[in-house]
Amino acid sequence: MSDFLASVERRAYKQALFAVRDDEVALDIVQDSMLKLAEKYGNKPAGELPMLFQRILQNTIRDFYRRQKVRSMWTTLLSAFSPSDNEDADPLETLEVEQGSYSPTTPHGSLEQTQVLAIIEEEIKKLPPRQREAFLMRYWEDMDIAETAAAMGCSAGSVKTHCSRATHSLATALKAKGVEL
Amino acid sequence: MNKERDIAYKVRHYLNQGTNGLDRRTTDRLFESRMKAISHQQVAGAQLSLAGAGHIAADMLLPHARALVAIIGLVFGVMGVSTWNDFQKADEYMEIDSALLADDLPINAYLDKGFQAWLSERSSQD
Repeated sequence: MSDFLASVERRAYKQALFAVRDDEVALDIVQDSMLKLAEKYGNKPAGELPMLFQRILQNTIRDFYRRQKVRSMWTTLLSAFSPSDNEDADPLETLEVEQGSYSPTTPHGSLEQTQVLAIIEEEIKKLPPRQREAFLMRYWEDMDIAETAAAMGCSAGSVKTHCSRATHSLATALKAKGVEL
Repeated sequence: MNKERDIAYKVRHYLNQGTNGLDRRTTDRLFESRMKAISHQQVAGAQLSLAGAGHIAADMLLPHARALVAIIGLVFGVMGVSTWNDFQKADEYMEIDSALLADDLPINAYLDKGFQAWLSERSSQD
């Protein structure tokens, strides 16, 4: 279990980060997913762990979206009744912090690689969630089509379609930005 | 398809570089999370060994919980109906006994065959 978690934790963090765009939340999501996997599926054979972990990770990300949706609904409702007490605050300050919190840092990489990586990561964030999930599970986690379909709760055909569309979108977007793979 | 896979694997190459360049704070948090998860797994394992058969029985029975509850309900229902019938019968016997005891005719008269014959004859004449 420890070896498996060590092998996937960084990619899991990045996957969560692409989805929620907040590094603290992404770390919390990875921690919750690891705990759920260890508590519920600790005795499962090693071969089943990647699919189970991905399913837990994607569900935890979706839970975050749901909570955020409910929270933003209440915030909107409450803010409509209460006057804003920090009108002097500069919204750019917040924006700067948020951008910095998930910008990639590659101290050992070359400048060009860093730039290409940043563009790729940005384009992956822009993908529709299901396409991003399928693409990352299939090609980054090296899961086969059946495993990806099981983790996503959809058919193998849907996985193929999502992957194909994601790759096409990425290639087009990268080409438009002058990145040739 | 091959072109798609080719692009995907090149993207993957860059993504892997991205994971290698994670800052120290993030890798430390991930390490802590992993240790926490492992410790929880061990706790779960210890509980299983302590509870032993109880846990195994619970794992086997829980999926059939609904059927079990229905069966237990049915058993209690049958027991309730049976008990109610017993009370009803006891009441009937009590009424017969009190009628017999309160009657002027002695109980032994009902055992006399001649008296039974006389009763049936009398009732047919009426």
